[in-house]
Amino acid sequence: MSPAPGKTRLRHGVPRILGALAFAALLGGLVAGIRDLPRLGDPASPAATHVSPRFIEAAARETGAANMVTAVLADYRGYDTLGETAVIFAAGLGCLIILALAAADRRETPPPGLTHRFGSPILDVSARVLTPWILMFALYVLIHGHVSPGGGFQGGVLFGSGLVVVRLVRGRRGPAFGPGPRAALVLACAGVLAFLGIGFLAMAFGGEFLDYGTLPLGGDEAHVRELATLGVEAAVFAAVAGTVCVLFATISAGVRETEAARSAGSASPPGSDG
Amino acid sequence: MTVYLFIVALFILGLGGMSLLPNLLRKLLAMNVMQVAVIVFFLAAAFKDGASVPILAESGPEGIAAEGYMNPLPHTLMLTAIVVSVSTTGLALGILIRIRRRFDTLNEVSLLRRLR
Amino acid sequence: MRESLPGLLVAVPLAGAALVPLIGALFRRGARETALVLHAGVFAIALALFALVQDGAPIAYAMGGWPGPWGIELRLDGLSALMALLTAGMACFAAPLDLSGRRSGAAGGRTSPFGDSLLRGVLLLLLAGLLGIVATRDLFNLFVFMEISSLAAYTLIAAGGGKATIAAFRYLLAGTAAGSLYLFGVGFLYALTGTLNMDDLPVQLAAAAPGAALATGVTLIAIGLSIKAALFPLHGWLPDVYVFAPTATTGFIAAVMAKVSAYALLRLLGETLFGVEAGAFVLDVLLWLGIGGVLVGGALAIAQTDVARMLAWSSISAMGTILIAVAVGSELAVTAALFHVVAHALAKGCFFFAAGALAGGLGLSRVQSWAGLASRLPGTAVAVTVAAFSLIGLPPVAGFFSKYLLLAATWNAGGAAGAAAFAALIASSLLAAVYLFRVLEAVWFRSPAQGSLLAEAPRTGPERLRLPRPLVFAVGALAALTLAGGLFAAAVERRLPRWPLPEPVGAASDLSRLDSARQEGAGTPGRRVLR
Repeated sequence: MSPAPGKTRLRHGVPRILGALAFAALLGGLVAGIRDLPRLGDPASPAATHVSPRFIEAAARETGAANMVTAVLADYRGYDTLGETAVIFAAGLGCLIILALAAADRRETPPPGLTHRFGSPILDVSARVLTPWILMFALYVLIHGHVSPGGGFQGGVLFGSGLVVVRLVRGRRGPAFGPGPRAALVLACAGVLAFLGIGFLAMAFGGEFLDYGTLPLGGDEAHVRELATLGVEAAVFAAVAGTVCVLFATISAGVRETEAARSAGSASPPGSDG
Repeated sequence: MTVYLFIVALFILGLGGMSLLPNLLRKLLAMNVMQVAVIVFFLAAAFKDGASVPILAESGPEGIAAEGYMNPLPHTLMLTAIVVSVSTTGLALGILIRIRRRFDTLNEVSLLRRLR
Repeated sequence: MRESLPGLLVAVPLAGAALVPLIGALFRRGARETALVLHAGVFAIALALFALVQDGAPIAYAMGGWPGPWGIELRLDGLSALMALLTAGMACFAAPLDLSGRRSGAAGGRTSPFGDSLLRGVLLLLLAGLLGIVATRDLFNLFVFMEISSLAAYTLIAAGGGKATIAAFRYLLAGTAAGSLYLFGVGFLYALTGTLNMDDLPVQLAAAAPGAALATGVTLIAIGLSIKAALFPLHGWLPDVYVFAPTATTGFIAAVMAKVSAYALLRLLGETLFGVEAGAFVLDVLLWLGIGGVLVGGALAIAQTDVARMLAWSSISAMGTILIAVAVGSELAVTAALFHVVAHALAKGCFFFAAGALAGGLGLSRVQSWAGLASRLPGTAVAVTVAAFSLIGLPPVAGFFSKYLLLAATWNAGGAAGAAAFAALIASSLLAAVYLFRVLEAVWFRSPAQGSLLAEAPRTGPERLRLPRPLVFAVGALAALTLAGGLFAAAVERRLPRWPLPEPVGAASDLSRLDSARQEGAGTPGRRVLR
């Protein structure tokens, strides 16, 4: 299981020296580079005076969002955010594929020989009290992203985690709570598609992809953009929450498999959960 | 300057750990350290002396001065970069679980011996 | 319609990536057909764009209606349209294949409850990521789409199971290091200029004083992209990935993925950062590294007994060749590089699909085990021969003409570096002849070893050896295209974009501003003097 003693390192001799030289060169280059950068916090630095002033001065007028980060994230650079959603969706799909989730659509049934007990009365009660607040706070973070720190990603992660907490505490014995793997996957796909759908809709009404200003929602452009931004954030929320549930379901299915293999295998005692 | 030195140190530590540590899980942790260095680097570019967080104060949209708020662009970019980093880590953990189950080790030398 | 095509080029495969798993999860069938239709649609969009930019006018697209440098701009010009067409086309060949790592015949094994729809979604994600890199004009957006394509690639590779998971993990580490180095470099450029837009950046840089920070940023970007492009000596991740990944994945990745990173290198160093002193220095270094890669890749390919591993080292050699041409940077050199990109993608895709079909389906992975292939699978043997001719650079196939153009370009470049590059290209063809003729000799002139699969199989009748039909189609079509690329080389060459590329015509870009910045910089893009 462990390698032969003394053979834990890969590189010896010349490659190792070359590697050390490469690192020294990189370190030297980086240190030389940082000495030449604008002073930290300089209000006259290029980053502070070019491009970004528009985001600060015009975001509220142009996009209706008081939180400039939200304005840039969901509107000016909404395409980046679409890419970001695709990245997290890719990770979800990847884990689902790699861990080859078996029997995904079967609802939770404890496998024979499972001796683990999740949780305790204290955890159980705490989860009962906390979970509704966590889920509600997640929605608050989503909706309030316009005027305070927050947004679809943060809210989605919170919401997904809230669902996962229940599963962690109750284990598989309790009644199923939240979406199963299939439903979670559908939720994630639907989130990504909703984001793209808003982009395509803007196209259908004569704008560029993701150009929310063309959507016929009534009111002035900033208001329309604000509404569309909320829609986009909600789509991201669904995609992220779905992916979190997919990831948890995938990994917990793996845990079940290991446990089943262990108990079927030999006398190895049930380890601590975690 | 000190901040930048700290960032370079973090980055080199991470990259060095990725190439030198023998255990794949440790490599992954080192990778995260390296990514954090880049994230902090961008955030340093957002910093302005005497500026507030990039959320509009309640006074309303009139007379907003760019000097009064931090640069929101690096913050936005790094939100994306953080999500990318988390996603990569998640996928990497999935692959590691698979490797551990199949080969019963996460030591790179032993695994490379299996590859040849 | 013309104006909205760049947006659709990326949005359609992204939508497909979510739609196909959704269909798989809800209906359990129809996912494969949807994926194929979407791949064909993306290819049609890329083809339309390629035809539209033939008049020389690029198509700019402001995502979300925000012009650069505030929003993210896409732009399709001759170069990016060619790369998009190549990528979308190769994806069409990979799409109908079995993306899982299952050995054909072993029908059992655990499959996902959603069938192959997840893998098909991931292939569309990979395509969307690569097309996003090709289309974008934004440095950070390039990073995002690079990571989309990377994550999708890791997944497709790891789906092979077993040893492929180790290769995928090592690729993940290398790819993430590459992404972080690139992003670090972008951070330097951002701190110096305040912009991420590839058109705005030269303007801002012309105003800024050159210094160590700029040099560091440019170098970091170059290192990051070189890792992704598997440029010697940063190629370590490549051989294992190409050997252990599932056949369809290898064929697609080997054909286009590293080349898209080389494209990004050309874009950034040859265009956006052109005139930056550090950029010119980095290009000089890349030229010598390319020469090193050509020789090392070729030499190590000879040392291999496994066909796929031999092809992987041959790819490292080919990436060196492309990097040489990119570094030379003259009009002829870039034309030659693009011709080589196309020729190599077609031939290597063909060869890898064939090798994967034989290794995965029939267990024929070693060069020796291919002995007598011509007598049992004559069609595959012919296709492999065409591909091998192209990789060596023999007439009358596409590889001959790209090698010829490359030689002419390096000869014209002059100087010690030009001469060394010329010699290295000659050497690479000779090395390729050594390792590929070994394969061809086994295929055509040896008889199958006693008791081997090829010896046992009957030549005719229902029991004769057969490869999966989509694979046969992919191998045959790619070989035919390789041959056509040689027979109609003049026509292909005419359709390649001329370097340096024309400036865009679009509301978003202020032309006069850019021109004055260019004049303040060091000369015209694409006119480098080799030292």
